[in-house]
Amino acid sequence: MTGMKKVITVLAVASLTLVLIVMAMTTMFGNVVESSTTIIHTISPEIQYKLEACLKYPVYDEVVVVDGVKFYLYFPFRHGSGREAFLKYTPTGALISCLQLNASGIEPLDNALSRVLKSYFYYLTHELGYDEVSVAFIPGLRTVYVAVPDDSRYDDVVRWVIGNVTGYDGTVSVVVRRVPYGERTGMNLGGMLYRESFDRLQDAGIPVVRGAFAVYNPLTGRVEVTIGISNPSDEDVSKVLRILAENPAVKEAGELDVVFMEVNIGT
Amino acid sequence: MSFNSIYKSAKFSLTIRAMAITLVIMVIVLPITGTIAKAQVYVYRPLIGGIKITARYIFDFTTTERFGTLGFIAYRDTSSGREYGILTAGHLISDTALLTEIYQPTSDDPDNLIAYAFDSYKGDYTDSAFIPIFPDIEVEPKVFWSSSDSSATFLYIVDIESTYFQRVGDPVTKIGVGSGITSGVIIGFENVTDDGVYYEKLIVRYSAYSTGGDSGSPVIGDIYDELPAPHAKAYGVNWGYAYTTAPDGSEVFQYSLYHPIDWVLADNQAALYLYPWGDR
Repeated sequence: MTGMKKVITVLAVASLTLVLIVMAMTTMFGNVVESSTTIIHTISPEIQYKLEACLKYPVYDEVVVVDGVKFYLYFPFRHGSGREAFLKYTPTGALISCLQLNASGIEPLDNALSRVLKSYFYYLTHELGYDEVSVAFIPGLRTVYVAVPDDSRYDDVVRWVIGNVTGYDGTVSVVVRRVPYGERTGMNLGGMLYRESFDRLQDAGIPVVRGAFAVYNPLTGRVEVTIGISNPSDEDVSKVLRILAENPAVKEAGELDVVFMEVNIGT
Repeated sequence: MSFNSIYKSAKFSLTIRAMAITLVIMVIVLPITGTIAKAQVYVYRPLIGGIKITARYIFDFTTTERFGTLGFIAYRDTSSGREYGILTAGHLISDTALLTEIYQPTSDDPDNLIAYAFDSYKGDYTDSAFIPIFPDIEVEPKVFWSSSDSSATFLYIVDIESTYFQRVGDPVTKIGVGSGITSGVIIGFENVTDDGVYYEKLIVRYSAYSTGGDSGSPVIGDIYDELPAPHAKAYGVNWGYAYTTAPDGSEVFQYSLYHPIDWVLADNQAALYLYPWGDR
């Protein structure tokens, strides 16, 4: 009987220890909100709220599929011509909004944290074996935004990030998202767009903007192309999408953000 | 075909077709506004980054002046020894005049003349230039600085941040004569191809405010501005800014653009003058 008591006591202690470990892990790693493509991993409800606000944008106006390529179309001037329309209704603007969401601005800590976070890129590509990743850091929110091509290693990504930045008073958040391609492919796609489509668009009478033409956006995980017409006709839109859809790199990527907005470059 | 010539031909064709969009090279001419520190327009000897320079040239019997910002101090090692110069925006140098005079800060005093610049000094695929200065002019590996939180009046430039390590979200600060010291974050990398050559991250979008007169400004990051050795890393040379137009015709600023420092240096075959490894 005494032996039985000992066994029960050991089991009880072991169970309690297990519960405590799980609780500690929960405290350490916080809540995980998971959707089909996104994990928000944070231990600060305030930051989580702000991040979810970030993920609401950008708001696209239309989705059109041309020759199998899915185009997300943005017409910011339909929503006004000021900065507000740009910030909510274009991918670049949404990223700026997200990056600057914290009104207190950039904290001194951000510089130091930013330096630490640069090593993520190396870790994700070399140690986790991802060919394609994008790592963005959101100052003020102390948030790391990781985009990877598949969700098989989400836990590893989150654990590594949290494990390496908890020294910074434990308020770092991680957003992991699955995107069709990472920074490298995104950059290559930007290059291919410029090389294969820039002149064709211009020859077709479509204004495009050098210096603001194509950019990879970690928020959407897509390349964003700016077409310099604020209020395009249906014919303009169709012409643009036809030319872009013929680009082999766009075909391969399968999707693209297209912003119709007259942008001037001043120097 | 060079990057610049693509740009020029694009601009030309846009003009011809009277398209809705215009690529405007607004070299100068905007009045100084914003929170520019007065000290940025003073005479600085030794020369440092982040201060006012004026480009002056005569073409077709007309004198033109453009003002911009001195980016960083750089150098080239030649067979005749080390040659120091300034990094700034290429478009400060005239395309048409044989020679452009470079003054710091303004051309009202002949003693302010620091260099002669030629069209050939411009980079091939970035809008930047390395302009050798007169040998008797001293330089320091610093940029102008002003902050309510620190009494530092300059930052030593201690390293460059190559594009490989620049990431979306990195805090960066621009020190320009047009709009003063403004901070923001990197929001994207634009790449272009030219004649089959792929240039990755040739232009960087960032969120800090900039305007006319900020061309050539130093863009820095990793700032530590505590005395006695305030310092920072060089991230790039400011190129321009993107804006949309409101119905009343006013500009609505959207974001700024800079050329990454390693691209600028490679394009101009120059090295950055860094502290404390500089030997001058």
